[in-house]
Amino acid sequence: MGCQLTVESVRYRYSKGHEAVAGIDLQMGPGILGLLGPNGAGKSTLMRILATLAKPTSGRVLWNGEDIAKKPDVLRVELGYLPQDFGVYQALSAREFLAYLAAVKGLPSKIARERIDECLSLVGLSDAADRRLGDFSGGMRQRVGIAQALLNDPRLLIVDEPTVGLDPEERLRFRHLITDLAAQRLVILSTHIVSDVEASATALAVMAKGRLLFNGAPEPLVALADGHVWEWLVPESRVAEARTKFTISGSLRRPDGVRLRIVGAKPSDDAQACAPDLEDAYLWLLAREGAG
Amino acid sequence: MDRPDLGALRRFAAILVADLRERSRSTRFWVVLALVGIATWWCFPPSDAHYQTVGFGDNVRGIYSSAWVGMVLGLMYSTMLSLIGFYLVRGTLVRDFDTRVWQLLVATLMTRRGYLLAKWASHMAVFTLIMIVGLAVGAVAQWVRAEDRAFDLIELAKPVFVLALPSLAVTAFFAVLFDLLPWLRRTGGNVLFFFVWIFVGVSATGFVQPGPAAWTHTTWLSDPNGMALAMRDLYATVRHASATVKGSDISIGVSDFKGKSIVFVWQHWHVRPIDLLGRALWMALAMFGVFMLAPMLDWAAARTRGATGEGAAHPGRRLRWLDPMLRTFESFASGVLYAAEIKLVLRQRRAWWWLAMIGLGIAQLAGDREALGIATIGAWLISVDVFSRAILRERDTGTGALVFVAAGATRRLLASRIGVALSLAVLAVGPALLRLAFTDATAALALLATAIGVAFGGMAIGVACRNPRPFELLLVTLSYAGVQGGGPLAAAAKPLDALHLQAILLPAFATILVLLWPRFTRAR
Repeated sequence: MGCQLTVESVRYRYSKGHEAVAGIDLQMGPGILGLLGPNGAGKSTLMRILATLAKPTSGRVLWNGEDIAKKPDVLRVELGYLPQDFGVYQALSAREFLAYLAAVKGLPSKIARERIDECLSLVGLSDAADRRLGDFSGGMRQRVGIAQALLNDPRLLIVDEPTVGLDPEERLRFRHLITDLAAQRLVILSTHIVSDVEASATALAVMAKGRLLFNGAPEPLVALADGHVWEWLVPESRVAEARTKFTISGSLRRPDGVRLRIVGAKPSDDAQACAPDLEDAYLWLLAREGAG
Repeated sequence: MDRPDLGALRRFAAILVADLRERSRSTRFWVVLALVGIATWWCFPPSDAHYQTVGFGDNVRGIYSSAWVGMVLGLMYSTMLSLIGFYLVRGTLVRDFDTRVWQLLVATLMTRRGYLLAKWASHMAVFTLIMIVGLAVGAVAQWVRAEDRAFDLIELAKPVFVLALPSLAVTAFFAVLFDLLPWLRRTGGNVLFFFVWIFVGVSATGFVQPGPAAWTHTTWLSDPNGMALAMRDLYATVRHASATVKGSDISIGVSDFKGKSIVFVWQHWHVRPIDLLGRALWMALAMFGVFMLAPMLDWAAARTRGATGEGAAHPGRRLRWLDPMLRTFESFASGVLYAAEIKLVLRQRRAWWWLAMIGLGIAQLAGDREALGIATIGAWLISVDVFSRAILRERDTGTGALVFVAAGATRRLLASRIGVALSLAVLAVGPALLRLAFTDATAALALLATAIGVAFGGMAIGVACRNPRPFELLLVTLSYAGVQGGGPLAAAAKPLDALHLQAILLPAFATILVLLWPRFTRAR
């Protein structure tokens, strides 16, 4: 079975008039699509449209050629979705909650039991499976959210800001998990944290103000910033001034001053050109489009 | 920098204004305001109508002068709005706690007393707006009915503010108090307030008997609703209009009658300054009560779902004995859903609920017919949150985005919710059903139909209003009528009436549920 997701001229306007998604075209196949954008870019709205929770105001989304607004169940049976904010039933244990969601998804009981054990193991919650969710920490609940998204072994996995609330170790585990899962399915990973997609994304889409600024492999995006990234050593007293004038993607305190990483025009004759990384390229793109 | 007194005033105003903006930007607020306008119009039927809303006996009322229109509004608002208004305004403190806005406010110079007083004032501002809308509608009604077109704004507004404002001040105090106490923030508080309101009303009626108690003719210290004052002065006039009407015959609500109504002239209500002092005392008492709640604010704010995961969404008891009972269901997918829903509902029941259910079950088995009827109503009443909230669970728990993206979730969840609500509604009256099945088959059938009606009604009204409160208010009101042997819950007392009523209600509830549930799930 294929996993081709096509977004055709999709727009979404809220009833108050704000256009959250302003005409997006995307073609996606197996692999990991990292959807990047600043807060308010329209990522979560696009995620909700792709997850069949909202219908586009105009345009359409096709899953293997079927319009998901007209036939949502065609996608839903193959969908795993982790929303940005979600609640849990605190009176149920993790296993009971997953069994409940497996039943909602229509999984046969025997398969559900196997999948629940697998998913709990994948997210490292096997030992806590019979503890009730009311006793879970925020990070543990987030892992339950990831587990529920995997229950039906989805062909399309949509995860919206999945690493919020995870500690560094859990975040690393999640990145590895997503990389392992992506072999035969489409994973759409929405985030504003570039490092979340840097290691794993096979394709990138960058959104700002509801528009798509970039769509393609990470390398061309990085290449866009070539010649626009500089390292510049400034005394500490000039850092504040530099922040107001330039886009700074990083800074490192040194005994002789602060080494700033600047994206854009060469800030000074003594600044040194350096190779851009994905974070630089992302900031360069936002700055160039006036969307930062 | 502001002077401290001005700063406090600005903070008070900021909380009040933000609260009013938050309320007034919801559609529900304007719908309620429109409904109040419609209901107010309905309070002034034309002269050939066969009902009245405020009067003496069944058919004695004042002519529609400004003073009488004001008196009708004053009495209606001081009694009815003091009940319904509670359900309308409550919840703003809980919203601040749950959304963690409180954590932002508490780090400022705002005082606890100032915060609570601003919330109380916000409730009062909503009530005042409603009363102003009512006054405008009342003025139009006076003009249209044309029994006395001499318009007097003071006479129109006086009873509304003198009678209703103190009564609503007390209601606003209870709305603040019930938001602070964690166990009264949801259904428990909604049910309890009805009985508080009844208690206040009943006390008032016992307190004021203008006939036998001579002192009430001169009293200035009234009850919270102001009935003492109104009856004192109305009685003096009405006894000239109808020799058969007693002072205690005042009726507020709907009275049907045949024939023509008897009218009396009421163009001025003389309120003495000392009477105003009596009314002001209730306002002061309500404000004092709000001030006295300030020390418990931090304690209350810490006990919220947003802060600790406690409160209404507490994990509850494990109830391991349920597992083997539900294991049969867990062997198939829809049974898994049903079992999980049953666990969710039962685990969050408090110890008092289990004890009360046991007590009510015994009463259903061993009590006389009247006790049986009361016990069945009691069993539904203490489980009202299951019927009113089950259908809204995704909204309350934030799980909508997890469950509604599943294929067929809408259908599966509706089936399991109906199953759970029906099971509980029937099991709650199981002992009575068993007993009646052997002694009075018609009554057993009526009780079963009413149980199904309660389950479907709770879900249908919940999903139609997207709020549990309307059904909770309805069920407590019907329970009150039911324990007195009337209304649709009195299935054991009037089985045939109950069967006829459920034959109409059940299809209506089922239709609402089936039509509106899919729309509700799409709105997540």
